[in-house]
Amino acid sequence: MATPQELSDFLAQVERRAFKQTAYAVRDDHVALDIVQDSMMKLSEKYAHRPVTEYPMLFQRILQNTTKDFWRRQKVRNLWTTLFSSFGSGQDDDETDPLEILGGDPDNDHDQPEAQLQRSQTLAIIEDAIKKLPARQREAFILRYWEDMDVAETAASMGCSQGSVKTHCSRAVHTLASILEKHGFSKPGI
Amino acid sequence: MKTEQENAKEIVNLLDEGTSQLDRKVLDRLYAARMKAVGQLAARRQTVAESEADGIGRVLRMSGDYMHQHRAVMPAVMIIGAALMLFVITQQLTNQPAIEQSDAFLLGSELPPEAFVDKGFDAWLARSSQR
Repeated sequence: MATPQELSDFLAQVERRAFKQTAYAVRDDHVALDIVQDSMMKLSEKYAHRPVTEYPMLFQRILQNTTKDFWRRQKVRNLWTTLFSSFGSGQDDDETDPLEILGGDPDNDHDQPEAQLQRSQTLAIIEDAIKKLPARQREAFILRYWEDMDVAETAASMGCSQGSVKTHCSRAVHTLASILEKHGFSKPGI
Repeated sequence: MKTEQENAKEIVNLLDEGTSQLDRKVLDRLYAARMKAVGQLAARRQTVAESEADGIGRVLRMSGDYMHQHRAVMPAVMIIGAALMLFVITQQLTNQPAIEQSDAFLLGSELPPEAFVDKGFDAWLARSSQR
């Protein structure tokens, strides 16, 4: 059984990425936080006896399954929210201020250096693009490149073949790179 | 033309910057969730340790309690047990020659004198004593 310190160190290392990854999938920060919290509790409750080296893969699997559970529960509710959202003010993602996504203070926009602002805008564009990726491509990209898992580990986490992982990753990177290029952010370091 | 890995690395660098700029409220909630999970694990480890120690301790306590309650008679029980063992052992040792003597007497009394000069009988006797 892992020690509390080992579990704490692992969760501290992955919690931010787990939140962002889930937020891309569910497009709601509060829901993403709930899912991440539930996943942490499940890891602690059911898999703490496993070696710490298995935690990255286990936690990713738990995160994905918890996210899928959320979507199952939302399946029926979405029918009604879709109906009512057409009458309400709603939330148009395309008009969202990128600085709000980053948690910045809109009143201080004019004080930010131009490079930092450009980078923030690039981040917002990429995050928006990731949200719009097909779910499997997004999962493959995040696990393979952001969580730094190898192809075999990614395939095990996703429950698919290694060939599928490579295909999903290739398509995801191609899509994201095309979007960056389209917005004029193709130079290195941008 | 950049490779897939190069493109991916640039994108990941951007995403990492995004995680470093998370809202304070989000960070606080993540911290609270982590502490809750760690607390749950710590509580379970405590429970497991207590139950293991309790199990072994219970057996020792019962043995000790039994011996303590019967401490007055324990020396007597041990002495009686030792005496019994001694009796059994000595009986085994003293009875063996007597049995051998009686067997020899029986054999000698029932046999005719001719049996003692019959070499075939000697061979038979040797065989039967080995069984």
